[in-house]
Amino acid sequence: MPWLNLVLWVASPFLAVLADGVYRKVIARMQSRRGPPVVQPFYDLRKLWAKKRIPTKNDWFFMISPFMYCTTLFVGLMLVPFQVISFPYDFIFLLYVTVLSSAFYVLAGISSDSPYGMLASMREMRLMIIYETALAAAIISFVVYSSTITLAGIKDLSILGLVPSAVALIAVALVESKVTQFDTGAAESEILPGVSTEYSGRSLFFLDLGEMLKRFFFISLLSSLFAGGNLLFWIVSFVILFMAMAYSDATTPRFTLHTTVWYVLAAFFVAVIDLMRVLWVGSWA
Amino acid sequence: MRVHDFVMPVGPQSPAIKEPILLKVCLEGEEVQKVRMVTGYTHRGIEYLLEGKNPDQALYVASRVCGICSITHERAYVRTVENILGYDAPERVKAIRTVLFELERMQSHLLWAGFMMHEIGLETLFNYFWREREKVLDCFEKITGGRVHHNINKIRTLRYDMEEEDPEFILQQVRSVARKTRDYYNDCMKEEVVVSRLKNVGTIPKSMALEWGLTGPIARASGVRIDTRKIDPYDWYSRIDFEMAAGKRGDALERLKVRLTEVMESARIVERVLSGLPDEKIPPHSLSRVEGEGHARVEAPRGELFYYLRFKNNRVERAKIRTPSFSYMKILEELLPGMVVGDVPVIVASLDPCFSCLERVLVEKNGRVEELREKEFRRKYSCPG
Repeated sequence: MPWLNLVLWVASPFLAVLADGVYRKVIARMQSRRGPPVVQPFYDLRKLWAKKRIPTKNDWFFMISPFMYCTTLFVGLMLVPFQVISFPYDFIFLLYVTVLSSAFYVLAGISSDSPYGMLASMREMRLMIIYETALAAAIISFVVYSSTITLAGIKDLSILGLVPSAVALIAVALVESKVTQFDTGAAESEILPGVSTEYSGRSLFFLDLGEMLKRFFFISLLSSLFAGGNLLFWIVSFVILFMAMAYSDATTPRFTLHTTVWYVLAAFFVAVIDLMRVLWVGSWA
Repeated sequence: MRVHDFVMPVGPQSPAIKEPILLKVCLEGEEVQKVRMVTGYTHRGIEYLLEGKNPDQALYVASRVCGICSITHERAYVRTVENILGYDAPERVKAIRTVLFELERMQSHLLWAGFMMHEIGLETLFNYFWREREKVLDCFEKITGGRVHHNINKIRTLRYDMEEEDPEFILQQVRSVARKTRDYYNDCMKEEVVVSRLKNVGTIPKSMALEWGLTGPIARASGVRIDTRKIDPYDWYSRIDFEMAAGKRGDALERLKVRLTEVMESARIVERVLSGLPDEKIPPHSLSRVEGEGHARVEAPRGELFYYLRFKNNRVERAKIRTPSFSYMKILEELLPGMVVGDVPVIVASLDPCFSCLERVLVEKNGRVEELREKEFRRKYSCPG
């Protein structure tokens, strides 16, 4: 059903924003609060869209980075979960898209010239170098294990044979999605909103939407890899990961940058060792 | 340009500090190299506002020195005036004042604990602590009619007496708060991440605490066993046996332990006082005529609060308030260097500074009032730092 996939992809920003509303509601319930309405993120984004942008700097990267950050993630959603397009070695394209989105996020902070944005970007860059490599190793493990060259080709439940890679992927998804304990790049009490400190109006709209898309993208990516093409498993996997992320967000304090780096390094080593194992076992076949 | 010329301003409006001060934090990577503190954003000239008012009018100004410990300032003012008058309040008045005082300690520490959890990103416990605080505020509302500012203390008496059903309601609430606080205390101590974020962070050794003249939970967390309720008892504190919470290491974790223990201890004090509440009428309020000078101190939630007042022609001629935060306002410049950026909000929050209380750099000399900026004050009066 390519048309349905296309429609879902076009609607993915709405789904991501709605998922964010549900996420806030779930966390509020965990904290014994009533929480905002599920559609609250729509109101927030509508307000930002209508607000005037106050550029603090006349720099090309400062202007374009939030938009590109959001757009690259939107493009990534073409591959997973909606599979609007599929082509050989598309997983390399997917990896490129995730790296690019993180790079634009870092650029947004650096180009803002704010000390908070600069510090947030420096923190994010340190982590990005490690977690993007871990992500690549884990995804390649899945592709090699399934003996396929496309993401759509992962049809069986390869997660059963790739538990270490799956664990590394979950760890990376938590860091990428900026769950509270790993949100060192946007730790409000330490560096204000970090990268988005100097942004306003539509620039902030794209940064906020990008955050929502990123969480949706990573939960979808993990669900797609774990479910192996089975829709029911995909939905179950999505719900479990979503709830686990909310639980983690609500119950664990923020790590220091030092601890987060060690955590990401651990995920990196697990992913790389598992990839070596997969490649080694594969070479026997 | 040296690397640590990268300056990150923390404040004057920052989620890390809930009151307006500015910390200019010089960084090298993530490590703090130097900190320069700039105050003066909430200077209201409150001592000057007290001057010229009659004793009853000045009480209302005193209660507004702080938004969190309103009762404490009222009580310190009233204790000073009653010292000047040589007046000893009836037992029921003293008992109710003790209850209010401990309720205030509970709400202040719970507010702080929630804030501390927010600083380390644990929003769930932040909500839980603040939910418990609401129960204490309900008690205040029941007794005084107000949740934040109370204006219940009057010279020689109280504005309102407790109703018959109030003690039962308060007991129920404080027992619930104490039970929940114990649970949250245990949760915090079991949660490894909370412990790792707070342990050995912002450590104030005992010698440093003595050198800086620290009081209150910060001093007690460093092992300095000082509590005005013990060393200079007032109201019912001489009649009640209570434990003084104290730590050893003097880090942020010890401060958390001390403050949460104090919440539970305050609940016990309230229970004991209410169980022996004298059944008598409180005296009616009458306008007071006060002449002369006097001073008094009370144990505020943050430490020792000192009041000096001089009256002339039934007007406040001179008022001097030394709040507990004053002694450690500059200690941040010593504590922060060498720590990482992530520890800055934790250390600042762990001290629980109240800047609207302490910003009062108004100096009277030879009958002339001079208002000084922070820099001038430090230079002229050799303030630490």
